[in-house]
Amino acid sequence: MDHYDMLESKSIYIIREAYYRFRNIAMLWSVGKDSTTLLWLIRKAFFGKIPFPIIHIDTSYKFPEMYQFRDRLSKEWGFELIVGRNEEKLAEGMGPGKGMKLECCTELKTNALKQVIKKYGFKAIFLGIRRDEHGIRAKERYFSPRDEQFQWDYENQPAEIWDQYKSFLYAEEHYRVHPILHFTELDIWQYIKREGLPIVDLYLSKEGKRYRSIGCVPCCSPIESSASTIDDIIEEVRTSKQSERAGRAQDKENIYTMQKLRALGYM
Amino acid sequence: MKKALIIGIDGVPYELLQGLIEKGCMEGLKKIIDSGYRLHRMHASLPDISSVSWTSFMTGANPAEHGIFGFTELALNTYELYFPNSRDIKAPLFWQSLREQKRIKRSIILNIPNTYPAFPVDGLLVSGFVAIDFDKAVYPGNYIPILKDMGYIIDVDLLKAREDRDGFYNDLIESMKIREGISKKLLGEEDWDIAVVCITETDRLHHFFFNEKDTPLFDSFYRKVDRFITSIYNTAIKRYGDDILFLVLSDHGFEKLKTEVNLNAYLQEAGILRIDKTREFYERIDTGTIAFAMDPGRIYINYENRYPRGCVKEDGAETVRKKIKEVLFNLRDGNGVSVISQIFEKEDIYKGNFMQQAPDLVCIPRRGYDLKGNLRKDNVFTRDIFQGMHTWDNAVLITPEDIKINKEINIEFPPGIIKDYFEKR
Repeated sequence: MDHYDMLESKSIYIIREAYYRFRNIAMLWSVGKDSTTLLWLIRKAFFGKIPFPIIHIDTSYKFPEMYQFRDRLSKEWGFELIVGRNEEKLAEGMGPGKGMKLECCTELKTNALKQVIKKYGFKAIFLGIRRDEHGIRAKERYFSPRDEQFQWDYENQPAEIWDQYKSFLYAEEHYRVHPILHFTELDIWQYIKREGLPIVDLYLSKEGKRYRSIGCVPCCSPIESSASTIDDIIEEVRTSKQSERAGRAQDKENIYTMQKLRALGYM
Repeated sequence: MKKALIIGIDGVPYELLQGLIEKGCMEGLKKIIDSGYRLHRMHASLPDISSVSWTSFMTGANPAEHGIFGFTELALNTYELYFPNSRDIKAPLFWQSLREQKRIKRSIILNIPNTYPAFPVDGLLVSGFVAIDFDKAVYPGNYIPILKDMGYIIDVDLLKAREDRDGFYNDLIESMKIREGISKKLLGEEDWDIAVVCITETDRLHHFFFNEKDTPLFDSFYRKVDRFITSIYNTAIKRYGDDILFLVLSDHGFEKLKTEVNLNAYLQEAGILRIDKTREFYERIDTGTIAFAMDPGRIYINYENRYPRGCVKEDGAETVRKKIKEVLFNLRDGNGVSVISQIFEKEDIYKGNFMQQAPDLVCIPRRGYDLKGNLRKDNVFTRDIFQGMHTWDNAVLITPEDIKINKEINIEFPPGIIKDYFEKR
């Protein structure tokens, strides 16, 4: 078994265990490379037929390429797609240009997802987050006292790890399951290459620029890059010092600052 | 060679510490105190917020000199929300001044709030709350991998308190243990003349558990705080001998929280604040607003020449202030208990180059009534999961007993002790 078989089988084990425990489960798909990889792993775990719905949260500000990719793949891979939109806030004109970005993310992503979870009564959600993705998320958990235990649980009792990885995004009544937590950014690209997975072509360089992380148009900016194939990207990621989300909105720090202040009752 | 060790215990009130020492929960600290130290009651900064108070400690200056008035601020001449950080500190820090005078060389500064992003120091600085990106929280950068390897943690996951109280409590204990181990190692192996080590876990405990302050939960937590203080102290005296200057201090006190008081909801009811709900945050402040509040009890007058939708003329300000004070003093809860016990005008409490930025009024509430400045709440009185609130008049300072203090002091005082110690021959 090589490295990627190991990563894969770990993920598949978690996916199957989660499905066994929570039949009323769904997966959150951002259309980005990580959650598309997760989607592929889920497909593999159930021999090509995904037995639960896939949720896409549509802020209405995504790249057109992302919508096309979403619709194409859901048809090709034949899964049930739930599109979640916070229609009320969209009707009020909520958008990144309005106030702080956190408010926009909260309404159009978090609350839209909450609405979907409530409507369908999901008990657990699969998410494609990775431990190395962003310092704030990973690091704090990494330092968490239960992390040692987590390592052990990871192999033996996946049911208990899930509530260790509470993500700030979602209400408390459901579990979050993170089957690709142990993948690094480089692992993802190597795995995409090995499996021949489709990706949104925004990741590939056009006129000297490419997106390393994709989301809503106003909050993403491309990085300087000539990587126009997956192989080029692998080489770039291997040698890059810049953080993956460096192209995301500058006030990401403000968002986290506000979150921390609010957690203590300020703001 | 002179050495100073300062331990910060964020949010620990004078009475609580005294009580726990008497109760026998802090035997190590009691032994140190019995060897020649004394507890003093001390005022926090105004407002009594960690970032403001610790900056007053670091600079020995009042907010109008150092420029920090809260965790939040509005960008000049706008309603745009802004989060001040270490870059906004306008006064020199005591270790910088002492270094410049060549009284000291190396400092190790660990976890003081409002030191993010990390900035140059001869020695080592690791930022405290609100530090976001660890790579920007350490100076010099070559300590980043070292600290990561040691498992350093800036803060616990605060959001966990909402979902898993027991887990959160355990996290606090664990993070204090990690902090203790790393601080001991750094202070035991690196050279330093000044070392400041802060624990913020105390403040976190109080925010979420202060209603249990008389229970074994606190006793057991403070036994660990005691272990933290004594083991850092012992590391220092083992290395440099026991004639070092040793101080322990908190940046504000704490009290059980009865209710949150949303000042802006009240100001709105009183016709002093007008809100446009289609906008966000402080942009919600609408034409016709006379004044608004920011956390915790800062009141800003909506001056015509200062804010985009300002309407109060500078020359009528006296009357306006008087009216706002009257309105605020009239605020009562459902039982008729008045909420605000004191209101300071900015000229009474601040002095310095940054008066312009200062809130016009600062309110001190009755104990138990936690003043809030957000613009999202429609009700004046609300409750959330928080069990404790900051207090102004009962921070604590422990000094050697030969340091004579016979006046009221606030948190700008202790850096003077440190300066005197290094300056005297």
